[in-house]
Amino acid sequence: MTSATVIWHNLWRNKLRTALTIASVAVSLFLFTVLRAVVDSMDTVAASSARQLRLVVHHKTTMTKTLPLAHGAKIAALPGVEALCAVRWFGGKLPNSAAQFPSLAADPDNFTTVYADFALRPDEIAAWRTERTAAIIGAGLAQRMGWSRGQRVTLRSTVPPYVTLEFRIVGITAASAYPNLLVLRLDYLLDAVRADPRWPPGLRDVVHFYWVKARSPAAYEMLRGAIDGLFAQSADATRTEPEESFVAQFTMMFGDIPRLVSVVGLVVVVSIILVVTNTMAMSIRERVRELGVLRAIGFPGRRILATVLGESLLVGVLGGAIGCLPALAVSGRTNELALMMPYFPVLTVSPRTLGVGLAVAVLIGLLAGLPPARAVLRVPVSTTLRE
Amino acid sequence: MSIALPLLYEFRNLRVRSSRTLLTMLTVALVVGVFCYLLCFADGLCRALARTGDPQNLIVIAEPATAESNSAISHEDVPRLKGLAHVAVDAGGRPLVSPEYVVQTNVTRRDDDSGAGVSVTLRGVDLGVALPVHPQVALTAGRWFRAGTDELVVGHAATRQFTHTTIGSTLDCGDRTFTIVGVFRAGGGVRESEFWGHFANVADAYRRSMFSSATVRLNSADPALTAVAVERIASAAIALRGLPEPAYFATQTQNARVLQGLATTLVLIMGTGAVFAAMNTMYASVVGRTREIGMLRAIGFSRTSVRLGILAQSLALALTGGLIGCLACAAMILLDHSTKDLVGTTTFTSVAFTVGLSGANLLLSLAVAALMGLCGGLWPARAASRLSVVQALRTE
Repeated sequence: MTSATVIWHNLWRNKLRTALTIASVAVSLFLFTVLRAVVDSMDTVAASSARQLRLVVHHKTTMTKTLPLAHGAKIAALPGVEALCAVRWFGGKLPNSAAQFPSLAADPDNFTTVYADFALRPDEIAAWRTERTAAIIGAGLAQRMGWSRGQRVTLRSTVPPYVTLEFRIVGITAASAYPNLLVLRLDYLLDAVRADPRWPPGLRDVVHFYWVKARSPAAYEMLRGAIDGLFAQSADATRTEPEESFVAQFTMMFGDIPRLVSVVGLVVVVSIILVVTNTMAMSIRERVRELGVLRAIGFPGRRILATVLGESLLVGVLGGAIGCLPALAVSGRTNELALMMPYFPVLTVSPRTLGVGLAVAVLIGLLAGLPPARAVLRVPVSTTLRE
Repeated sequence: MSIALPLLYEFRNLRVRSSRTLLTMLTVALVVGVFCYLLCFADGLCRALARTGDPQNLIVIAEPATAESNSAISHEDVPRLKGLAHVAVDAGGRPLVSPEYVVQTNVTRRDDDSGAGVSVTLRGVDLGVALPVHPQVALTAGRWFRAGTDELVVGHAATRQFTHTTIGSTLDCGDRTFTIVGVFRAGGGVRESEFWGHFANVADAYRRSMFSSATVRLNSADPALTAVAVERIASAAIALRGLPEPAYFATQTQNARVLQGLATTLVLIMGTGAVFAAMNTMYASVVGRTREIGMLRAIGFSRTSVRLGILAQSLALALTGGLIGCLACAAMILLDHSTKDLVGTTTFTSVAFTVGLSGANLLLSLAVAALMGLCGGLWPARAASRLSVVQALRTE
C-alpha cells in the first residue's frame, strides 16, 4: 500500500467530518480569493498607469478647480514632452436616467498618442480625428448601456455650464483600466460652452487637467518638478503628479475599505487554520494507538509525519480547489456604484490572484497538520500502545 | 416525562475537551468580532449622515447638478428664493436663505504617511445668515473667521482625521493661503468634515462669481409645506432643484449602503465556515460520549432532553466565542484611532466619521453568534437523540 492510498483512506474514515472541514476551507478560500481580487484589481490599474510615463497636471489646491487653456502651450514647449492632452470633466448623464458613468472631454489631436493604451483600431482613430461629435467608450459601458459603434447618444453635463451634446460612438476600447469611461472631443465641448453667453468667462477657456506623456523615464522625472516650477508664480499654480498616485485618489473613493478588506481576508485565513487544526487534532487523537502500532512494527517517524501531513494537505488542497475555482465566476462583475468612478477597474480574478488563493490553501493544510503530527510523535510508543 | 439535563453537566462537558472547545470558540470569536466591527463602521457613517439632515431646510442646487459641488446658481436666484412662501425669518425680519460657495481643497490623512491627498469641502458663507439657517453649527474652540480676511474655521471631525486642522495652521485654498482660527461642531453631522470661511474671500480665492447652492430654512418641517416649496423652486420662474436636507444627504454617500451589504455578505460566508466548525466540534462531542449518552437515556432522560442538552452546549460554546469577539471588537474601537473617512460618490470629497460602539450592534453580533451555535448544534443534537440505547451502551 503506498502512502497516497493510506492518506486517501484515512481521509474518508469519518466522511462527515472530512466533508465539513473541506467545506469550511472551500467557503473561506472563496471569500479570501474574491477579497484579494478586489485589492489586486485596484493594484493592476495603478501598475498599468505606471508603465505609461504619464503625468497629470491639475490645480495646486484641488483637482476640481480649472486651469487656463493657455497653460497647455507652455507645458508642451518644455523639453521631454512627447505629447500633451488637455482634459475637461464633462460628467455627462442620459436625460431622465439614473445611470451614471465618468465622461471626459479630451484634446482631439493628442488623445490617441497620450492614451496609446486605449489600443484603438486605426479606423477608430481616424474617425475620432475627423468627426467633431466622436466619442470613445469603454467595453464595460458599451455592454451595460447596449451601445455599439455608430450609435448616437445625447448626454447632458452635470457640471457648469450644463450643456447638452449629441455624440456618435466611433470606438470601443477593451483596455481593462478604462471599462466605464466615455471620452469626447474637447473642441466640441468648448465650442458649445462659448456659444452660451449666460455663463461667466471663467467657465469658457478652461480645462481641469493636462495629461503629459514624457519621452523617456529621465524626461518623466525631470518634468515632475519642471512643470510646477513654470507656474509657481502664476495665478493658477499647478500640482504635477504621477498618474498612478492620481488614480489612487479615485480608488480611495472607498476610503478605508481596501485596507479593511485586506484585514478581513487575513482573519478569514487565520480562523480557517484554526478550524482545520482542530479537525486534524481530533482525527489524530482517535488514531493514537494505531499510529503507535505502526511505529512499533518499524515505520519511521518521518513516514508517519508524512501520512498525517499529507492528509491535512489534501484537505487544504481539495478545499482550495473547490473554493477558488468558483471565485472565477465573480470575474468581470462590477458594482453599479463602481461604474460612477473614473478608473475603477473591472473586478478580475487573475491567474496570480488564483495562485495566491491556492498557495494559501496549501499553507493552511501544512500549518494545520503540523502540530497534531508532531504531538503524536513526541509520545513514547509504549504509552500510545497502552491507550 | 422529560427532565432537562442539568446545564452544568453540559458546560462541564465542554471543559473536558478544552483545546478543541477553545479553538472553536476562537473561530466564532473571530467571525463575530469582524462582523461587529463592520457593523460599527457602517453605522458610524450612517449616523453622521443622518445627523446632518435638518428636515426644515431645503438645499437648492442647479437643476442638472448632482451635488452642491457641481452646482452653480446665479445671484439673481437668491431674492427669488427669499420671496418663497413659508421661509423662516430672523428677529430682524430677514428671510433665512443662505447662499453658499462650495469648493474643494486638499489635505492629507493624519495616519497616512504616503502623502496622498484627500479632497475636502470648503464652504464660503455669510455667518449672519448661515448660523440661523444651520442651528446645529456652534463654535467649540478659537473664534469665528472675520469677514474680509483669509481665515477659516474647521469642523470637529476633520480635526481628528485630517492634517492642517489645528488652530494657527495654514492651508492653501485656490489662489490664496488661509489660516485656521477656530473649530466648530455641527451636531455630529457631515458638515463637521468641512472647512468654513467668509463667502467673499472663498469666492475670490477660487475666482467664483456664481454661488454653488442656497439653503432655504422653512417655518416648519411639515412635508406638505416642503413639497409645495420644492415644486415652486422647480417651476419655470426659478427653475432650480430643491431637496430636503435628509433626502439630499442620503443620495450623497451611497457607499454606506454598499458597505452594509458587504458586511452582511462577508458574515454570511464566514459564518457558514464557523457553523461547519461548530458542527464538527459538536459531532465529535457526541461521538466521544456515545456510551455516556446511552447511559443517560437508560436512566430515564428522554430523547428531547438529550437533544436540548447538546443544543445548550453548542449555544454556550458559540455565545462565549461571540462574547470574546464582541469584547475584542470593543477594545479595538476604544483603543484604536477610530476616526475614518469615506469619499462621497457624487461630491468626490471626503466625510470623516467616528466608528462608534453601540449596544444594538453588540446585541446583533451576539445574536449572530447564537444563530451559529444553534445551526452548528442542531444536527449533532438530532444524531445524539436518535442513538439506540442498547447499541450506545455497548460502544467502547
